Amino acid sequence: MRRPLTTALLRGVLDAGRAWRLIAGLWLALLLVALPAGLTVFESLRGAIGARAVGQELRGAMDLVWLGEYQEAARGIAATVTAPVLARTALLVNLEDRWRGDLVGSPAALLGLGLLWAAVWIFASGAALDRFLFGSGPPRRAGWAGAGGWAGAGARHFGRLARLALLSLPAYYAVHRLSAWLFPALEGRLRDVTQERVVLAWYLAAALGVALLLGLVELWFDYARVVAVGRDVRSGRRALTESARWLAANPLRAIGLQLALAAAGGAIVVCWLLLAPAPFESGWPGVAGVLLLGQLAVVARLVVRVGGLAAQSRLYRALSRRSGG
Amino acid sequence: MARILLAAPLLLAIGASHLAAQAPPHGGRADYVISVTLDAESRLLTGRQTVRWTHGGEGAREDLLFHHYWNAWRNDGSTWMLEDRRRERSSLAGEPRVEDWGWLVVDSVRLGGEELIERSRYLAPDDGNSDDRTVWAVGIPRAVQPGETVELELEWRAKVPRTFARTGFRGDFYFIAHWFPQLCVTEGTGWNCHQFHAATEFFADFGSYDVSITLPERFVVGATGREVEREAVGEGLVTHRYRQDRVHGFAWTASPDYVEIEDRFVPEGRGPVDIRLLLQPEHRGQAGRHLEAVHAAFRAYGEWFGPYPHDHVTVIDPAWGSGHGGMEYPTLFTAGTRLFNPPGGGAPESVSVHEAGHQWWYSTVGNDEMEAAWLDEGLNTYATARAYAETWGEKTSVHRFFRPPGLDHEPGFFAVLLPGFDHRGRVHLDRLARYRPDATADFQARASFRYPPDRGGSLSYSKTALWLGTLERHLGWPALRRILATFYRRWSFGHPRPEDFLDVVEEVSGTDTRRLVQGFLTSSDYDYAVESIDVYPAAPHGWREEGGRMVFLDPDSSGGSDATPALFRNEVVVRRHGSGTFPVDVRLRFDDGSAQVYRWNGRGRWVELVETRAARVVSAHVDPEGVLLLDLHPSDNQLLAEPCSLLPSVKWTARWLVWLQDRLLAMSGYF
Repeated sequence: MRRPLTTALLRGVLDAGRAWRLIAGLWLALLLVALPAGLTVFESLRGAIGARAVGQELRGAMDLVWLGEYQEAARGIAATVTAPVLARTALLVNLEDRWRGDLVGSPAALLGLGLLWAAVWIFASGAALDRFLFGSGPPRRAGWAGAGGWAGAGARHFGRLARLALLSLPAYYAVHRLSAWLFPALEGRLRDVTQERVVLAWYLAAALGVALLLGLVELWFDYARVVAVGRDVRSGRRALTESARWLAANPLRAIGLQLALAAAGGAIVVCWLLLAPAPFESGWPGVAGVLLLGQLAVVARLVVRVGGLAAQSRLYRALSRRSGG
Repeated sequence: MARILLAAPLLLAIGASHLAAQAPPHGGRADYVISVTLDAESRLLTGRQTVRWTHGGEGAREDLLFHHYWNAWRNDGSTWMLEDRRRERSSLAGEPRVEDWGWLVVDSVRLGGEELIERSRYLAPDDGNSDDRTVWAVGIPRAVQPGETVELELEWRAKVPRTFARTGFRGDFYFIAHWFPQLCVTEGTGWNCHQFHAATEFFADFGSYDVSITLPERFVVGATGREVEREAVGEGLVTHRYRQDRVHGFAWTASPDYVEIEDRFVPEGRGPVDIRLLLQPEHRGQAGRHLEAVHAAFRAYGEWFGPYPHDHVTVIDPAWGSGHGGMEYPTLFTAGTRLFNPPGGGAPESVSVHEAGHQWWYSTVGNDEMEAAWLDEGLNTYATARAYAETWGEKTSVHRFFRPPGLDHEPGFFAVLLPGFDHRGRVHLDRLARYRPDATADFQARASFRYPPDRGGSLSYSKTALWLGTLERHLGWPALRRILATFYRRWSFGHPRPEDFLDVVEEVSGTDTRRLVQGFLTSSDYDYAVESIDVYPAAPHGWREEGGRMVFLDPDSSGGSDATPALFRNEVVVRRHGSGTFPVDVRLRFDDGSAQVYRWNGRGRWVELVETRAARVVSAHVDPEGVLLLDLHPSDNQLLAEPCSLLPSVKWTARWLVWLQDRLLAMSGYF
């Protein structure tokens, strides 16, 4: 295997394609997790529109006067209904919030949904890693077969992956705290700079640094998950240590793959920014279009996520085999 | 030592001084001759000034009162700092450092050669705050009588602050405003002299200014007035002399980076106005947008209200992060833009139109911004939106991205337009979202400096724009334009009070309109809504006496036929939720295509409209023409008899759902 990174990426994509049932299941699960909140927002919107004539206008573009009134009264998850969230910038909002460390904030309902989805994801990612690391043949161990293929693998790895998830929180928190300190500190250092482009260049450099740190933490924990599943390591600390060792031995390829995955995720955000239907369409076909394209974007994000697991598994296997690990 | 005489401007200035010889129509007069030197290393100003003051009020004055605005940033005990803490709007990021604070100290004040510094003291007329040193009084040996003129000589020093608000330095960029000891205004039998407050601006008498600014030669200078002389004075210093008559303040700026662009606006039938644009080099590509905005404002305001009284204006594009954007001074204003401002999003055009508009409302009509800020800010905000809409149409919504963590005051570096999110072309209604949360914060009739510091802006800017928009719809644009043009003409170079505005309203449009405006000023919130629509068969049901016998009436059997269609009793309840009252129309539409409009004086808490006819009401609309822009919740003004289709709720939920799913996926990146 001459080019393990390219091979891992390509095979990862193929693996993800073969795991379409998993992706479909995850999409359905994500929809099920999101739907109660969606119903809440739907009811909230329906209640706010009621028999008001503005409802006729809201079939087309958004009336910001009405939206202002709605936001004034909205509480809980309904308070997240804002113009940039409803517009083509929705995915960009999330990307920025991820970078800013604002993803998990108020309202509490959002945190609850996040935890529920995290549980689903941890379960599914354990099963997926197992499949990608060990193939789709019969399970290697009798214990697994007893619990049933996918479900068994997910259940078997859930505990260790959940521990890793918990261990990752302080690491991410530390990066976000650092970030929250860094920019004000930088602002203080730049307080006599009079050109925005100079300040922007510094902030972009700092942002890149923060993104790299976040990426490194992600990388470290991603491969700790691969180690935890691939080497049947229950201890989070040991998985992290081995992950660090492995990354130290293969830094460029691991980082290269991570960058490729980040680029794929970024491409989806850009595509949504450019291609998301503007809200002018006023009929049901327009609604169907939004539903279809929106869910397509979500599926694309899932493909990248699952494809990422597959590619990481491939890369880990290839490089570990080569180094005799 | 080279001396450059800028001949043509000097001639113009001399010509202008002839105009200045005409006494302003109201109040006193204060003429200043100031020599100031900027030490760019220590950031100190050293000034000598002569003030020639004519007492324009009534009764003798034994004290002369001055504003020392920069002492607001002498320490954190000033009233400005205490109030700013509540509104959290200081331009200064983080805690002030030692070099950030600013102050102003007068070393000498003489009247007729007699030193009076020992007779000076600080006052705190608004709140008694002994730490506040923004009002300074000088006792004089002999009282000044009404109409009398006195001449004082002052020597002072001032430390340029890092910008807390509107004035200060950032690096090599200086914007110097409200920087010298400036006389307060006499009104009636006393002084109208307030401390410097965080949420209000300034007030001073009109007069002439002759200001010589000495600073290192690397600086490009912009200032109120025209430069009439430039002289190299050695040691790498240059003195720039500026003169301007009929103004009530003097601001100047210096930066080595300015790119200078000149342009000219030629109003129909009047002399040209020279425009000097001092631009940051990184905004060179936006010069055309700034100039287009200035032209748009000068054209619209000139046509609507009256001519611009000067022949030049200077537009300043302040340095990044300097906190000087969007501020008005006589014959000079600061615009404000960003590196990335997509066309159509409103910036920088609307800021430039607004600040250019202040040359009418503030610079020429010099109301008291401390007591009635709405008179300039409100009138100008209204006119800005009108001029913007007339020139560019409706703004496209913008959301700015890349807001660094920990910098909550940074709105984001990259702007993305959000097409499909608009105000339906309803000019001024973008102000509603800002006004609504503060609608009951205070009464507009109260002195502006008494408004809650964090919420007063909504009342001065947004509420006034909304009620002027309401007046425009109520009276028609020609009538409102007459009111504003009369007010402008009558109070140019004067200090109008709210009562003076009301007098003009009454004179042009009658007592009822005056009452309406008084209502706007004294009521806190307006909110009408259609509460319910009910339709019943009008045919009676039950027992009835007919010719001495009881007859049972069954509505089913007495229903309509082709010959006698069924009658319906349509009941519509319209409610007033707000405390303010305004006459409103209520329009009912019926399923046979007919409509009926009722006039309600809007005074009761609710009104029930009953209409019996052979048709069912399908919609009821209070204020169907959208006259009352102050209505806090215009969306509940129109009710349908039947609930709307589910489509809009499904549509917007579907869009929101994509965001939520993606957010959950983004969260799972942590796991």
